[in-house]
Amino acid sequence: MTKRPNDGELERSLQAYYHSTLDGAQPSRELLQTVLERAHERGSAAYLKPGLAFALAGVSFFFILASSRALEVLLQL
Amino acid sequence: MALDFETLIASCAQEVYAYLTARLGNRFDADDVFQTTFLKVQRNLARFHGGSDPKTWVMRIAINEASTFRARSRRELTLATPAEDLPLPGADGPGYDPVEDETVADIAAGMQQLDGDLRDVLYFFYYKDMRYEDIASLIGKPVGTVKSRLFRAKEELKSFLEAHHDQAAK
Repeated sequence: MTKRPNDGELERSLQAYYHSTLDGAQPSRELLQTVLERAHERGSAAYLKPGLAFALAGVSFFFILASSRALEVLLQL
Repeated sequence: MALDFETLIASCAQEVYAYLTARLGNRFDADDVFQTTFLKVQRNLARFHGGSDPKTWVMRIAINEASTFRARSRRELTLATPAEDLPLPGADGPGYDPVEDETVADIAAGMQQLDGDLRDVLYFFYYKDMRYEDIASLIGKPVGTVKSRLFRAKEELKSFLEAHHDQAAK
């Protein structure tokens, strides 16, 4: 015998399903801790980025300066 | 509007996690997407200007992340056994209802057949008791779309349950 649920039966079944599977569902403490740690690491990395970029630019500048000076010396020989 | 990440996560972690568990059907995936959601929240926090409620903003990110995750991975583990760490009434325990237990298992199996968009509207309507207008605003679709998705979701579930009963009767 085929039985197709009506709207009321389906709605009651859905409520039962959601309440039994989701009531009390919450992220574990470990999961929250992981998210906070990863977020903190990213935050620190973001804070370091401008400083790192500035340092790299400085090093590049002196490298180019030194290279051009060396080239100048070599050409004078 | 300055938002503090830790305050934000504390205020909506439970809500986001329940949604992700319902949407993805298992806690392993929910854990993954929970992380990517909040890392995205953190990355975009400075750009949030208070155009909407912060919880709504976070929930929209969670909805997008769940859609992306599901599109990327077709892993489907059933939630037929409700989450492993939830207290369940045992067969001998008080409150155990074998009929309800079977119903829950049937609905869980039916949910696996539904598209994520359809699962979303069922969840927001039947579990969160949200109005059509609020669901429409949350998912960024017209109210008519919410109503038609809800109708389609219920029809698909009814068809699944009907076929399931037929199969069980044979």
